This record gives sequence, C-alpha cells and structure tokens, in this order.
Amino acid sequence: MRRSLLVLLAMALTGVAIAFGSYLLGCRICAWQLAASGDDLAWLRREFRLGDNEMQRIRHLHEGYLPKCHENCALIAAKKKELQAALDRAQGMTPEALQKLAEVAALRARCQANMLAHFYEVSQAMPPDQGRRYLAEMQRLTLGFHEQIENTMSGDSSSHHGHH
Amino acid sequence: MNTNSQLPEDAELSALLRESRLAPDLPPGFQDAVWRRIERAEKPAPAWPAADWLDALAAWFLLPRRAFATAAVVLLLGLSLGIARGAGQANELAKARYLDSVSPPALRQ
Repeated sequence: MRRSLLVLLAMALTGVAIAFGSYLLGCRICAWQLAASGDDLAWLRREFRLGDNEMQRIRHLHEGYLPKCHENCALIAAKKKELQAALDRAQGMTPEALQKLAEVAALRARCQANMLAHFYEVSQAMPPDQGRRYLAEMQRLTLGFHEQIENTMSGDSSSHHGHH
Repeated sequence: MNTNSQLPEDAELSALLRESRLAPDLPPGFQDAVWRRIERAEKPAPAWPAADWLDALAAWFLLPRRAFATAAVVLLLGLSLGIARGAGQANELAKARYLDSVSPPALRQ
C-alpha cells in the first residue's frame, strides 16, 4: 500500500511538472511569435481581419502619420519643460506659467486633432463595419481617459460634455 | 442396575421427546447470513480500507502505455491552456504596441 501511495504521489508530481512546464512553453511560444513579427500593425490585421491590400493602404497611411506624430510629441515635450521651468521659478500661478500651460494644451489639442484625422483615414481604408468598430475603439482608448477623469472630478458618471 | 444400557422403551421415549421439542422458524436468509459472516471472519482484514483501490490505481498507471498516454494528455492540456492564455496576452501587447505608435502615452495622460 505504501509503495502504491509513493508511486501515485510521484506520478501526480510528474503530472503537475509536465502541465506547468507545457503551460509556460505555450505562453512563451505566443510571446516569441509576437516578438518575431516586430510589426506595430500586427494587431490591426488580426483584430479587424484585414487583407493584404487593406494592410498596404493602412501601412502607407501609418508611415505618413508617424513623422508628424513624433514632431508633435517633441514639441509637446519641449513645451512641458518650459512650463515646468516657469512653475519652478514662480511661487504662484504667473502669467508666464499660464501662457505655457495654454501653449501645451494647444499643442496637445493639435496633436489629438491629427491623431483623430489619422484614425478617420485608417477607418476608411477598412471595410465599413470594421472601420466603424476601429474608430469607436480608437476614440475610446485615446480620448476616453480624459472623459473618465472629468466624470470622476464632476461626480457625474454620464458623459454630458465629453466632446472636446 | 446398569444405567448406561437403554431399554427399548427409553429409546422410544427419547424419540418422542425429541419430536415433541418445538424448533422455532428461522428468519429468511438466515443461512446466507451465517455463511457471509463466516467468510468475512476468515478473510484477512486490510490494514487500511483505501489500500485496495490505491493498489489498483497504481497498478493501472504503472502500465507504460497508460502512463505515456496520461502524460501526453496532461502535456497537450497544459500546452493548450498556455497557448490560449499566451494568445490573449500577446493580443493585449500587440494592441498596446499599436496604440503607443499612433497615440503616445504622454498624450493620453
């Protein structure tokens, strides 16, 4: 009986080791696949079931958008440094700090406008249903964050003034 | 007088007495129950009641074909679960990667 118990225990431990090892291997295989693709647009193709022609158009739009996006981001980063310096110098809210804050906000708004324009262009390169879904998802992911904060601050769960 | 020797009349008397003694009716299945008790008493008691099925289970698994089949099933199950979970995680990572490329996190905060 004791020998049987030991045999079963050894088998159970081996089973757990095999299951855990193969589970980790499965996870690793997926991670390898993702790393091997190295494509920023891999998710788009899979999620919205896009064909080669659609992907080619979207890739063209994406590559055209990226330099503008990087340029805007660099401008925002530089302006944020200026704002921080103005805030560090001042004891309170000075006209200079207020001016820098307005400039950062204006740059962000311009960047968001470019981004939304790009999303519209990409959505039009997709089949209509998928395009609508893409647009809704992108707006939720990129603009929803601010709505969430504003709703939390105003104590209102419904979005009455969420369109900026 | 010899008390051991029985007279014919005594023998008849004894027979009459035996016949006149009332034997109660046995309950149904009495004999089977007795045999079962005898069998149970003769059988050596196991040290632990679960010992029998533990032995049977160990013997079942110790056959190489069954052991390999079980290991293969566990391997496939683990691999499938890992791939399913990994695919979900990879999808989230790919989504974050796309989002970071078109909408930098600094812009979303």
